Amino acid sequence: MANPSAVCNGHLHHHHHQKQNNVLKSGVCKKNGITKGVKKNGVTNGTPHKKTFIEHFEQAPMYVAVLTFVGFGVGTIFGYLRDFMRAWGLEKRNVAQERQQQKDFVPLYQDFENFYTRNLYMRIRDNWNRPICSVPGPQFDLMERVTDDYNWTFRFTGRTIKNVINMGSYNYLGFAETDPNALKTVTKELQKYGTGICSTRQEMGTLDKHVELENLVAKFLGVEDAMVFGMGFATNSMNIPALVGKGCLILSDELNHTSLVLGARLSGATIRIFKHNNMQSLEKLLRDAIIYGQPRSHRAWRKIIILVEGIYSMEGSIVQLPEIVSLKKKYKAYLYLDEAHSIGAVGATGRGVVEYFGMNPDDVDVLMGTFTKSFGAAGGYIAGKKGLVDFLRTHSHSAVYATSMCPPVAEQIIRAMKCLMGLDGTTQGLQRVRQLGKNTRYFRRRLHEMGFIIYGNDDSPVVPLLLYMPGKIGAFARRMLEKNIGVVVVGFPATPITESRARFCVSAAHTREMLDTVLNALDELGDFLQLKYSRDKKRVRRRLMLRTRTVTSSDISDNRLWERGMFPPFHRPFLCHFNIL
Amino acid sequence: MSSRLNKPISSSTALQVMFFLHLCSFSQFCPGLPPAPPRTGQHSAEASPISGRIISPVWQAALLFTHSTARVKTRANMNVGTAHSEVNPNTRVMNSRGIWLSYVLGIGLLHVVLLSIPFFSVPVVWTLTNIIHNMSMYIFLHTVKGTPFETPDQGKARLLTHWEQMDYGVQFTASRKFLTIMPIVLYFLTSFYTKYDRIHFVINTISLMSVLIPKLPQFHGVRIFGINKY
Repeated sequence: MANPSAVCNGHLHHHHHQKQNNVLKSGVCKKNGITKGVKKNGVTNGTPHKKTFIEHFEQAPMYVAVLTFVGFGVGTIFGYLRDFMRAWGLEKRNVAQERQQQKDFVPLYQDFENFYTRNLYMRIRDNWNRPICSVPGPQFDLMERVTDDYNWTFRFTGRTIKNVINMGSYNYLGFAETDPNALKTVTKELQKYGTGICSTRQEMGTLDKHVELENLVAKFLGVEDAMVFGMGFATNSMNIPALVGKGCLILSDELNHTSLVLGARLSGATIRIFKHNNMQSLEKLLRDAIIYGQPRSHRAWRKIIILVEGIYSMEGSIVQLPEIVSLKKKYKAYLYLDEAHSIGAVGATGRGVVEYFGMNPDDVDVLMGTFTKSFGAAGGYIAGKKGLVDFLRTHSHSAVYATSMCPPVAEQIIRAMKCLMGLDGTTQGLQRVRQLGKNTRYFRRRLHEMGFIIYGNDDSPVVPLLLYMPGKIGAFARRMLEKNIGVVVVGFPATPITESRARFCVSAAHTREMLDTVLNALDELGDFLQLKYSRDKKRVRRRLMLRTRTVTSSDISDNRLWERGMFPPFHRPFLCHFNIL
Repeated sequence: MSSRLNKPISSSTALQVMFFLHLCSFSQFCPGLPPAPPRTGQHSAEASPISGRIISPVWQAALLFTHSTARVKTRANMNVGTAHSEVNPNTRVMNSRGIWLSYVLGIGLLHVVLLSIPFFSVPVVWTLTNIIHNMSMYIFLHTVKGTPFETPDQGKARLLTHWEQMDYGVQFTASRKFLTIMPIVLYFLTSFYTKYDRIHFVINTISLMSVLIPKLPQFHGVRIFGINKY
């Protein structure tokens, strides 16, 4: 027949056509309209298992906020003093100067814009951009550098600080490794394909490796099709303009990443921002959008799309996916989920927040993610229905103008994904995911018990520890380096003025010993710098409970308690973990 | 904290604004700077009724009886490596937790330091507190322009003082009301402790005017005689 999907005798002949390709890319068998999926344990019939969602955003006592402002005030006063001394020649000027010939020209930059950089950032500059000389795995080597003029210039001493514990890299599953055995296939592909593809996807840049990778990604996520891109940032910024345009509405979370924001701006759609993870705010925006329509004409919006992330990297919070999906279904909006930090890091088998909440991947219209964090590679993907991905293959800016992903990187992702899915014949992937979960829960529980203020969800491997005062930012990072631990600290203006923090990224490659070293160092440092601001009553109650409860021998050998984050496994002397008040 | 931004104007603020309505003639001295753009103008086409514009007296009257503090919508912009999508963090500093308390404690500290100087009498100390407080406020809020760090807003805030940057130019927010009331309260206290002496009164009143007039919505972006324009 001319048109295979024509209506014939009142029946759509669609399913005859479907018979040839009733096995979709995700490996799900579809026959007679009935889908046979891989049976997963733990998914009950009827109501889905209700996930307990515990997130903390505790506020420090008021005196901490006041002292933070005092700190900034003192810094500002001294900044003005030093600027005065520099202007009147009482102090050497270390910043770049105008050339003599251009002395009378209008200056290129305003002095005041640089105030914060010269007077506050320069003093603690040695804590950022530290050069490393090994792969950023769970431990790495740093090049030792010293400064003779208070961080204006650095020089290398020639020594390396070896085996610094790395708590800053996004290495959630520990795939950042140089083990030659593990990278055998990658080396082979490098020899075979070379390093770069000098072409776009639509011209000559689609290799069999890309097709293999895309099939694998679709199978991994349980969706119909996927497309991969060479850059994770560019995946967002190039594809959101292809999906939405003028006359559409984007509802984006307050704390969305720059790539999402740039993509939204480039698209030309209207952007409205709802408060972070706040469903009332989102619902209000949705209702207003549907009731009032576009601003002046009051016509209906062409499309309403909600942009959220799986895990927010600065807060450590996880998106409230079930509520958002129910809202999206009620108001008929689309959902774009950016799983940059959550793919591989959460979920029972590492398939991201969709699996974490036990939901159906079909509920999310556009699943986006990156391979940078959990897979030790580079690039991003967009996955969803076949129609969506086919549209992106033709209409995405990246497909038309950007070079495609290079084959060795694709092979690295393939091997990592196969490891995760168990297709390489081992259970190593699942072990990594489990280890990450254990490490995360252990780390967070211990930090919480010690009395630090930690932000975020109990299951998120990103752990921001609040420092508050600007003086403590430098002190914390430097002292941690002295103890051979590398941390990332962030302050104002990247964070709100009272909430400077240190951000830890737990990895599956961290062993218990490494985590214990870090935790003991944090304990000491927390007492020395007085960072233990938490006034959480539950923590006090638990400490009391741990003190008074008698531990029986069956408890010690019961390793299942370890899974639930209660007692460490048998071989450790358990008393040292309790903070005896 | 955000709930404070949504309350309508109180009657005292309304009276104060009515009282100074005639001062809007000052804007004829010098064409003001381009008015601050509405904070949502870049992304949504909707025009909010309240923006940082210089508003004519006709609109002023309408303002008094409408819900003046629209919910401030933050702009989405390119902030690499930040924990928020705030374009200009300076706008939020005065709303942060603990800053009002720090401000009051700062004034208290200043007062105590002045009191401890032996040869100043109590009226002189109060007048000095008032003058130094108002001078510092004038310098930091109404003279210093721009931000001490680079912002991704392409220089929109570079010619604006901190007062004009606060809350992206939305008038009558909670922090603005607080910072308007503080010098007035200090003025009352100073007048009481100087026993309404004539010379102290003149000095304190001039000082108060110098700090209250720039806070009027009509003076948003106004630079008299071109002073402090660039």
